[in-house]
Amino acid sequence: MLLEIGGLTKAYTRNHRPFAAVKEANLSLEAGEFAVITGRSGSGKTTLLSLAAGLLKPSSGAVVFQGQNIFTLKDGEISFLRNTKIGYLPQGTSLLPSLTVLDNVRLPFYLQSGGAPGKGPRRDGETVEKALSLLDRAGILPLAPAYPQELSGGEQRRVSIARALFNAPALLLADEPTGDLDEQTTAEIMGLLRQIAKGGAAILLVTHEPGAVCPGDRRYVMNAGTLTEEK
Amino acid sequence: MSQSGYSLSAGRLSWENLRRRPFRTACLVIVVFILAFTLFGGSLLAASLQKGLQSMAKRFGADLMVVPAGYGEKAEGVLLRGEPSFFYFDGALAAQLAEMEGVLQASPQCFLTSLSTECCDAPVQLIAFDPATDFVIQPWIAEDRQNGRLGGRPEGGLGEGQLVVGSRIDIRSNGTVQLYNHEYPVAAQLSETATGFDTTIFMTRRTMDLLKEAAHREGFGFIADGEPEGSVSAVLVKAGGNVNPNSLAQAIKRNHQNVDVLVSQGILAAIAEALEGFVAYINSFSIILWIVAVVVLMAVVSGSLNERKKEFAILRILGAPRKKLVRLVLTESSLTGLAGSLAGLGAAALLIFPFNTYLSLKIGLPYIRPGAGGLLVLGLVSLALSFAAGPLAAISSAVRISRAETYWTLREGE
Repeated sequence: MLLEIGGLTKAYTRNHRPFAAVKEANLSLEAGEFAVITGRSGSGKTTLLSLAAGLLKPSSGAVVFQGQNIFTLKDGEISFLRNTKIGYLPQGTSLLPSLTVLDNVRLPFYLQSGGAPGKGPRRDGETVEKALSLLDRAGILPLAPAYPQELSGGEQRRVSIARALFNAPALLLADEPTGDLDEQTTAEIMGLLRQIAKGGAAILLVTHEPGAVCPGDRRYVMNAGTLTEEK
Repeated sequence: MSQSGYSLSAGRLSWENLRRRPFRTACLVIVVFILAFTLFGGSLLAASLQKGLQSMAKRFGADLMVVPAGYGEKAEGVLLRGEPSFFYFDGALAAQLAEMEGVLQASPQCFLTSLSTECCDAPVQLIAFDPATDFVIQPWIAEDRQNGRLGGRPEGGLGEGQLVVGSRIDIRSNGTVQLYNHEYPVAAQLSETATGFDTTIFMTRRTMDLLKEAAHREGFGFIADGEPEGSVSAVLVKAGGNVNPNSLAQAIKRNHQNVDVLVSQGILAAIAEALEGFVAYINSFSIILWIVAVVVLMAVVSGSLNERKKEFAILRILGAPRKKLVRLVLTESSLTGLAGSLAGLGAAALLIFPFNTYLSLKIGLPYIRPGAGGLLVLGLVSLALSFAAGPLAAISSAVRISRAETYWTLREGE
């Protein structure tokens, strides 16, 4: 099992009252699986995804990735995991405005000291080659020298996806990657994500789009913090 | 498509960020620039004044200077500011003072002034000493020779017709100085003292007599010509080991009503007091400015990082450990700190070095710029202090931003 979420709860105080954003959530994913979580705004989808990425500590429960509970890891270890094995696409724009599209895509390589070891490029020139090939795959190669401010929302999303794939993660967590896009761009982005899943990476997608679910996907519904799998 | 393969190191990321925000970057650099400029300029000024005072104390040599009554102020002008002057009294006083109880040594000196436009921009002081009794001028020459500052000059005492000149006297290319239409060979040029001695020409009494004879032949006359044979301008006195110079000065005044007595300790103490106040002012101002600069930088950096919280959250998502975020922030502040510090130091040096003499005259205190080693130390200390202000101001914000929960940062403003 690639990812196993068990009894995951996140509770905090909201308006001076205890509030559980996620209640006893359970979920599992195999490599190459495509899972979709749907639900209303404020139902806890983003919180669940953040917990799965180790960006937020749970009140209880565990997120086991490749056999290891990520919450037992130190900051450096969990950061390394996010850098090399867990790609995360947050909502909205997530590109650094001071870097070009090309540099945004190859940035993950440089965030771990000495570059991410073990796989992928080893030298600066190779990071450029790899970033360009990812941009090509995302259909935005000509935009490599542009800055994020010069891009449309759909183009920025494609760049974010290319960047999330730079270190070839085993799991991609995508938080409403088509939330503010038109129908055609949404279809293109979803096509790109499906290609990635076919390549062997597991995808956990949070979306409002009912059309995002395809036969064969694992389907979950989040309602007031409770995650239910739909068979 | 051709793309460069440069590394996206912490330095590069910081540089790109600074480059894309020119106004904020300029503000940070300017704050550090002002700090570095003030620290280096102030410390250079203070060090130069302290060195000037030390040099003056060393050069005074005599404990007392006995001059004709009413000429005390003029004599002080000769000593401190190099204001040419001449006054005379009976040369027999030197021998009388030498015999006095509490006096270790006494040596007469005779003053003349040069004509203007001969050797210098303005008339300079000529001082003749008695080689047999002198305990002030000859030791300077010996010391400068020992320190290698009189390289190539002949060993031994001053020859007949030879001169020893202060550091600011212009020597002709043939190694002479022209006085009253005659050229006189320069045996040695003394190192800088920041006193009137820098614009003084020294010679033996015998040379001064020869100089006056030659001048007479050219048609020049001197006020001293009317003075009795053997008149002198001043008698320098060294007190005995356990003798208080002030008490000795009072004793001399009691025995000789027609003299003024300058006590070098008193002159030095007055200068030291003025200098102390000036240096304390510079130091206090530098400390306050440093604190203000750190506070201003803290406010600017904190505000800037708050605006960029989402960027840092994205870096966390992409796998940057907390340490990396701290390093990025510190690298940025180091870059602005380094740029501001170097520019501030350069500007201070450009402003102060060429105007040494002007500053010295304006301040009215002895002023000697430290040597290369001293300048290097002052520069490095100023550089370190001004440079450190940036990272120091940024460290708390850097730690705060690195500890922020990525999840909550991303949800802010939703």
